[in-house]
Amino acid sequence: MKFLVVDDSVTMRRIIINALERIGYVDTVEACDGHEALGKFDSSVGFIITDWNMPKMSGVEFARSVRSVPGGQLVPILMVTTRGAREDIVAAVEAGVNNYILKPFTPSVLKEKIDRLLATLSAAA
Amino acid sequence: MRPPEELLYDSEASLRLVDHAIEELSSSGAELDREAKGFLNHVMAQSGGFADLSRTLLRAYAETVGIVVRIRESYGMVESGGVDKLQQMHGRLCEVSSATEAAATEMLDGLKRTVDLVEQLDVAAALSDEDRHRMLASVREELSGVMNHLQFQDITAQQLGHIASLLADMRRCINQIVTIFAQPMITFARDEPGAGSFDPNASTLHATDRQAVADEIFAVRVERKSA
Repeated sequence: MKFLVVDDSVTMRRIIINALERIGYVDTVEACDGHEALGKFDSSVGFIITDWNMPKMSGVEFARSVRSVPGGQLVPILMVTTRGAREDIVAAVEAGVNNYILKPFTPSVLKEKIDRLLATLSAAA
Repeated sequence: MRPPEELLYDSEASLRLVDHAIEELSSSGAELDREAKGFLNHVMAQSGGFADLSRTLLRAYAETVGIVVRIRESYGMVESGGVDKLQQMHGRLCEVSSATEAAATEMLDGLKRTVDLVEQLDVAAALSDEDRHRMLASVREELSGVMNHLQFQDITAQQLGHIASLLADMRRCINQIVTIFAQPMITFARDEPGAGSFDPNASTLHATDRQAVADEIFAVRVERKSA
């Protein structure tokens, strides 16, 4: 499964990709903001991990855009962000984000969220 | 306090009397010393005499009032735009400092444990395959943990982005104050941080509690969807 990892921090992208590799997901593609990510999103992408605060296009705007393009309605979107206010989380839900991780996170939390989302997806299929 | 127009009227009237008295004194042929005579001649040579003094004072008063108003305005700007922002910046810088130290400590601890494991692997003469795999897995786990602690870089970068935006706000405030008195002299070549590229509340603290809130909201959403 191909993961699209979107974050303006190179450090965070490397940490997430390293964590993904450790749990067996080696096919990844990166983008530094929502705008670049939209350009890289296609039918081969099976999972999106995105930050919220990014220049040009935020993670929430990106999630909204993905949900509006053909083939983007079902792809799981996991947001990894520092924004922990209740209204932010609700806004992410409304934008179409499927689950939410607060930074700093542990690899076990990342694995748990991915497993849960993929299980929900396969149960729905 | 009496209004300035009333004061002007009264002082002008009084000073006209002074002008009149001087004129009379000058034409009376009274014996005056040289210094007093010189002063009287000087006053009489001025157009308007003493009577104009009150107008000059009124102009000075109006300008002084204007300056006081501007000082009050700038004080208000410094108070509302500066003091609070300085406190915020101080708080954020303290957070950056403690987050950096906490992450560095965690990384040093992880590296120390890794070095210990490598030393154990080095000295162990006959390790079973199982033990060797277990120890190598621990080394991998520790190194991955060290890498994970580097998340502090992203969070502190956002905290510093917030500080930079507060500094930009203060720059605008100082420019406004300068504009009150003269043309702004301060120019900055560097771009201001993009408002959307950082979270002003980014923090390394209480991650578990904040995650619990997020999980609760998403759990409610899943329940609603399945209901």
